[in-house]
Amino acid sequence: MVRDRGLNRPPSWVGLTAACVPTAVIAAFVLIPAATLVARTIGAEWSQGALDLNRTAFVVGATLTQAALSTILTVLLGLGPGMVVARYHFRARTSLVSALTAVFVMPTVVIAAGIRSVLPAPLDSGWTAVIIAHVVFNLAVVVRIVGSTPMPGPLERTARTLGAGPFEVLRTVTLPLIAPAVAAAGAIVFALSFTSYGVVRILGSHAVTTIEVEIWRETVVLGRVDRGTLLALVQVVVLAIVAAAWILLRRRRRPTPFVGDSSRRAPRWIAAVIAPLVIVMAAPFVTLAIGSVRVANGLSLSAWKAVLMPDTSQSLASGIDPLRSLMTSTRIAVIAGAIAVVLSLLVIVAVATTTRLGQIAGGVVMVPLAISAVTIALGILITYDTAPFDWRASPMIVPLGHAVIALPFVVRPAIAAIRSVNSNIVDTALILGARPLRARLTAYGPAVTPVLLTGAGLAMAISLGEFGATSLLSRSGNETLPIVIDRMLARTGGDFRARAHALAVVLAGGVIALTVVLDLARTKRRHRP
Amino acid sequence: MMRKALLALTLVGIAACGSPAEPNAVTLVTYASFPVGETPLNDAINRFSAESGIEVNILIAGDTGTMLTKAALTAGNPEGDVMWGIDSTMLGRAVDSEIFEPYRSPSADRIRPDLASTVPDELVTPVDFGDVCVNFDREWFDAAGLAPPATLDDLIDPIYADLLVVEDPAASSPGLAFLLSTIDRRGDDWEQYWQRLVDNGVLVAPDWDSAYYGAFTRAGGDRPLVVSYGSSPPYEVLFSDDPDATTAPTGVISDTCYRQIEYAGVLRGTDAPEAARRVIDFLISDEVQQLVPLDLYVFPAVDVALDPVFVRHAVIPDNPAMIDAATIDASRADWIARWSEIVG
Repeated sequence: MVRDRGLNRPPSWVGLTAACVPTAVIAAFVLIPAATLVARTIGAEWSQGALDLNRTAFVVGATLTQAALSTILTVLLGLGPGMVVARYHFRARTSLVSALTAVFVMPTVVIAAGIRSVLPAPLDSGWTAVIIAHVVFNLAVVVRIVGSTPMPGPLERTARTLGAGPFEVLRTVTLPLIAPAVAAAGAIVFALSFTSYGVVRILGSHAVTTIEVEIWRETVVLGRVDRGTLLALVQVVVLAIVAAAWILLRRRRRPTPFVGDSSRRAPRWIAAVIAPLVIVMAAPFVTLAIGSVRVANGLSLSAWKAVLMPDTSQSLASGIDPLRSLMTSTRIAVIAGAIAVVLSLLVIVAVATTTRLGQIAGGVVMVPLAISAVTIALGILITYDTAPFDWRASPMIVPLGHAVIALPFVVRPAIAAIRSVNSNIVDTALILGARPLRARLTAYGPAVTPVLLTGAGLAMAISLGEFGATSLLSRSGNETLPIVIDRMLARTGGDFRARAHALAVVLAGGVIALTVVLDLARTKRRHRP
Repeated sequence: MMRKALLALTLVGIAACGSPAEPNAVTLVTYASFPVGETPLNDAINRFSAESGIEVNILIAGDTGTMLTKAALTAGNPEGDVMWGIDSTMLGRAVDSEIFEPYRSPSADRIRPDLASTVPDELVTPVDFGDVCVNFDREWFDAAGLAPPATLDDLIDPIYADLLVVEDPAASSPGLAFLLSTIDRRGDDWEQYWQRLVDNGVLVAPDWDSAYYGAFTRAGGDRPLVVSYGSSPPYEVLFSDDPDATTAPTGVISDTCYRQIEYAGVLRGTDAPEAARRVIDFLISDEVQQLVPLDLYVFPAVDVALDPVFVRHAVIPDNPAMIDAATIDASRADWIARWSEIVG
């Protein structure tokens, strides 16, 4: 189909501006800081920063292998439930997806500790534990992305009428058509497992490690910033190779547009698909809940009392105010969510109105996934260190960091949603006389709005639970909830550990409530005629 | 239009950030476990601000390693003016990175001599100390009818097989301290000692939390010996149902202790050097020092009266192990790599 580019495209400044703003933000807060750190630490003392090649090869190999295994297992386990969520509506659907999301965004310190206490002795640390933790954490990514993809119901029914069995329909119709969504989910899970940090620090060891953890170990524990930065470069290069291979593989398969099905009432058998998921997902929460009432000499609600009704007059003030940290976390989450949604919207406008620029912007927002948090945090520190750009301890640094981290999770599904829209709709609108922007708004708006709404919730949830980057960025005064939980876990005596678990339950509750509300808003929109 | 807007923005930015810093505001850069809430320590800092006219702002830079790495990268153009919390295992790195400028407080004579003697070139001031020691669960040993181990050697005795949990020195500060303790006490034999610890079933936990609150018998685990702090027993009493107990539920094996000292210093390149020095003086005053046990879980660097609970239950060993900062700095990476090979 040939379009008249000159007339039927929106004015070029729209796409240009939309692509430039998010790109500039990522450049300013990720690319330039990382490049500055590389320039500052490597080069002059290159010989000092030489990496141990054997060790590096081992770490790269181990990182790739565990990421591949984690991805395959997560996709295999998440695909069934994801398709069930996409296809049927049942009473617990929203809460199921929200609870999964809560696992995804919980602070790693808390969930990894929970997972370790659930697993039996030989499996509770090492590769098995790391991979299990990655699967538990990332199931939400697969279920959410696959679950928000329309299922090709009419085509499936046609295939069945023509005599295809259920598995044949799945293999020849359903899977090929929803492949873009599955691939997008798989790519995100791979990137997350590849750069995994908190889980591996807690469940790993010298032999069970990832590049990201080695960067931290070299930079922070051993003070060899140059070696750490070199490793960060290695990580970027390896991920770039993987991404290039991925794009080459996918290029051959263009997504086929199809007519989606709205969700239907669920049959009984879906319980069998959902039940194992619920068990896997609930285990860490049950552990947390038990942990919050377990104190030295039995069971007690004292931790809950201390968290919900802090007695400020007591002489043993802990210096930790859970309620204030909840407010701080909420404030930061709202700002981070707003930034993430505005930037995502711009990327989507760029994708919908231009081809090349939109693709570039869509790629650039993925970059933070590849660059180590340690490298970014230290880079910001040395890049913005003189007035008027002395942002080192700016209160905006933490929410901005959260927004940048959340961006890929908001942008990717939205781009997938745009791609799934039949482009004939745009042409039809154009033929019917709509102006170029209006035509695209009409075509893409209904597909993108629910995804963006979910994205907003997800961004806020990610911000609420974010621990790694927050702990690395300099900050004055107010602490976020995950930081407070971590501090409580490090205290001797009394019920501090139980309090930390109680707070983690509060955090999980908040995250579930947030995602439930936004998912409900989204489903309402979707069901509108 | 765009350009004008940008120019205006830049001007606003310059106006907002470019004004000269008030000479009487001091930023205290510190680690993540420093209290920022309404503790007696924060109250004392606020009183100091009110009385001296020096406004003290606390800036959390991350854990101690992150804080030091950041300070090393910004040496000469620091994020703040005073730093609290560099410990003796990291002092060598801090000195090499030239993050501090020399200052000797007029009240430095009050500091315990064993701590003061560790300071190179008056660059830092000791502000607190603590010991990392093997702790034991009294109840477990009573029930087992076994005397708790008394020395480092006892830990490799087969009658104490499968009882000890330690932390990974590559990731955990007490884990590193315990490794240093064995290196200081066993000298070149330390590798052999660890081989025998492994043969005797030592368990390695990734961090203090999972050792003390996961594997230790007091928390429901199966290890009655854990690498923790010399100050852990008083906190067990303090935060228990019976704060007046005569015996703490846990004990400390003093022969295993390694001393960690924390220092404060004036950051090189500060724009408020005079105020920064007065803050250092304040940090070693009785007012602050008597608060560090309860608010920071460490012992004061000067002689002040301790809360009776610490006098009764804390163990402050006479001859803790210690390795000088420069040696640690030169060998730490090799020691950890070697340790990882032995423990596997």
